[in-house]
Amino acid sequence: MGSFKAPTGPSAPKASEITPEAFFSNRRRLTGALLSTPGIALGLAACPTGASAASLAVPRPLDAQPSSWKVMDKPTEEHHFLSYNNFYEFGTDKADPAAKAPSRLLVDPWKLRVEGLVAKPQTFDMQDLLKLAKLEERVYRLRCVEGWSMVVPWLGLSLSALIKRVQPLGSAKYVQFASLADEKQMPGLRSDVLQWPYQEALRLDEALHELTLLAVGAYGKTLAAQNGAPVRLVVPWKYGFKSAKSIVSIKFIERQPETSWQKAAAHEYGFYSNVNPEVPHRRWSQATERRIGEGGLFASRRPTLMFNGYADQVASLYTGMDLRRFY
Amino acid sequence: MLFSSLQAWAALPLMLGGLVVFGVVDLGANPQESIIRGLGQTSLVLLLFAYAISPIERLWHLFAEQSGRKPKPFGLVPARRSVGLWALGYAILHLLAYWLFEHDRDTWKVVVDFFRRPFVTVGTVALLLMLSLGLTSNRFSMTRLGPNWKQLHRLIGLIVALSILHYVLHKAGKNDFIEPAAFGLVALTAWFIKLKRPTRAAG
Repeated sequence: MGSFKAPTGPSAPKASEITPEAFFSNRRRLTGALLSTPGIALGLAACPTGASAASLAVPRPLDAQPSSWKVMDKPTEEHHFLSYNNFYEFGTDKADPAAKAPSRLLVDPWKLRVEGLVAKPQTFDMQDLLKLAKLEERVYRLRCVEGWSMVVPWLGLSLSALIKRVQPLGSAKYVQFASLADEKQMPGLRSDVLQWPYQEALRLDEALHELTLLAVGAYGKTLAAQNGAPVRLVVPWKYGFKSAKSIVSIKFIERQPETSWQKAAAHEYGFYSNVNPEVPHRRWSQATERRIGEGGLFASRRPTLMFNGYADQVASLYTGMDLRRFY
Repeated sequence: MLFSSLQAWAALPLMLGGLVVFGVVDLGANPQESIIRGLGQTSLVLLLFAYAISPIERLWHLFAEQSGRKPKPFGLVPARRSVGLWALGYAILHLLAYWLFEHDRDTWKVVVDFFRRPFVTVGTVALLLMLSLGLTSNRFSMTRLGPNWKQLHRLIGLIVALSILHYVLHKAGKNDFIEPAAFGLVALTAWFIKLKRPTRAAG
């Protein structure tokens, strides 16, 4: 029974009522989690279905091993990462997700359905996911198709660990991701800017690439709602929109599917959407990028790197392909 | 009095800009983008206001007639030139900010954009037309151009239409047309009232 109890005095509600056990990787850090309970109280009060057991995303400390995937660029300040977001399910303005998602998005319990052309279809909850592999911290560049970029210390595990668990059949060629689409939680779904649920997809070999990350956290904490809590994709060599947020379904299929952005504007957003400074967007150049928070107001833009700087790792996936045609 | 307060209001975003440059006001994660967009929006608002001044006067006149009072001018007409010039000023700053922040002062890239990207083409044409109005907004040009002056300055309708189209094309990526639609509604209403204007001079 998860009915809401008001905190009494400085002590907070029992952690088990508000915090998925999966994240108790470090008991010493529990104090940090408890400090954030006023946020939960506010959120549940604002939520019309506050009586249900589901709870909001409140970032809590999360342990992970450092990994060798670490770019040397300075990580973007966390407050930018938390305030400048594209998550159209909560509105198209950059400020909408931070304003609307934390008080609406229910992340616990969370079910991730993995199905399609696999030998062992399975529905994972967050605990199951975290058992797939040890969590790693990876510092990746993030390049948005709009021409800005950040450097984000993600916490997560290689998507390949999950893929190996469900054992794709030989006929599986593509992996399709669907984000949560719940009108009760997501006011942006009233707009028809995209077809909901948000769908993205990768070729199976892209999905299996060790850079492809299933992220559950960032900046040492579980993901904030506006960043796609509780679990999202991170594909660092592709434009940011390929990295679907708040994923509820992963499906293995034979034919290349249409993604939400292709359905919206196929001439502007291709299936691959690899970061490529030489292929401009229909309405702007992709040759340079604005690194968020870097330098002062008059700082220069950065040159955008082929495959966002991951060419050594991923260029071989596209050998012989005309990247202008398959943008 | 009204005139001078209008001047002050039009300059307010500029003063805000000063505070941004000196770090007093925080424009968030992408201040360059906020500045470019803010300058463009300010220009469009002022342009629409300049365009709407004669319809506002017309409505005011009708309202006075209806309520049986002696029609007096609302008093915005003397401010029209200065509002228009402020709109032009913000449009120039909008272009400069785009040149500075989007293209790192590389003028050639702006030229390439003009030919490759329709929303830049449309915006630049609107700005050039606005500039021709601004440059001829003095008394000397009025006497010099004679009846042509009025013809030339009727281009404001086209400039408004192009500016809103520029905004629509910019917003097209997110299919997010609420703001351009609101601007469009104001412009169409003003245009409709202008069409209805009787042949005798009003206001």
